Amino acid sequence: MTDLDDRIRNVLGGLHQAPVPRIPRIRPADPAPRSAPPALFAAAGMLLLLAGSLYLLPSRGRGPEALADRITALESRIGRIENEELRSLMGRELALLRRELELVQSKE
Amino acid sequence: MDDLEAVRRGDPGARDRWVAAWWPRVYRMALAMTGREPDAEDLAQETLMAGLASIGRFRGDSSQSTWLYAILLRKHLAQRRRPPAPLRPIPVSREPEVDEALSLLADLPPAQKITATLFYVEGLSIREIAHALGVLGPTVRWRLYRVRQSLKRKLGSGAPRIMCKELL
Repeated sequence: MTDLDDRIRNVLGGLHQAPVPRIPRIRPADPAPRSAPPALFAAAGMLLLLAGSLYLLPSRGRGPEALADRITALESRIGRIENEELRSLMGRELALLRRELELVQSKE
Repeated sequence: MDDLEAVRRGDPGARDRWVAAWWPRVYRMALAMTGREPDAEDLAQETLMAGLASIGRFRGDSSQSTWLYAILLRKHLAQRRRPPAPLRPIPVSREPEVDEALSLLADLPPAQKITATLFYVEGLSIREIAHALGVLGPTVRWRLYRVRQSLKRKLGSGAPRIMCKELL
């Protein structure tokens, strides 16, 4: 030990003189009841909405312009989705739409 | 500290004894980290609460003290990330020795502060400190080197630096 170490140890040893407050009553926090995280509900809800928008709305056009619009909309929505799983599902949907667009364009 | 199994089983008496046994050391460490008694009390309470909550997962790879100090450091860093709470008055008049120790530590970054306290106050070895803080031995040595550089200036030491055996 150097002189410096000794001096630091001596000064910091002053912490032992600190009065210690009364021991509080400490209890571990009760574990919260397990429930599905809100993000899961949000993800499920968005998935249903997505399914509805993609498959159930009859008015959607299937032409290249309509498909391109849907791709653009989906691309912008994916950027705002935080849920990893949902983003992955939407990514697959996007890939399908792009493929569909390619097929439509190749027929024309 | 041999009540660990009983604490794990949730025996209230054993829990109280466990808290009472650790409270002074954890509080002193919290005081070294925060520099203020009311904040130290909060930090020590949070640390022991977290310790009790996770004591079932404590596998005994390290000593209980190093495990608790690791929790304390995490809690302290989390506290620092929160918006600052209004300053509460310090209710006790400090001993000059305590004041001197806290002033010496005051300007050190948290990682150096806890390293210095574990080394100089708690007398932990570099290996134990590395284990507690989840860093490598050379990191602890480097932090101690920085601590010595900073505190040397504060203590006004002109003495040449000779590494202690453990630091080599």
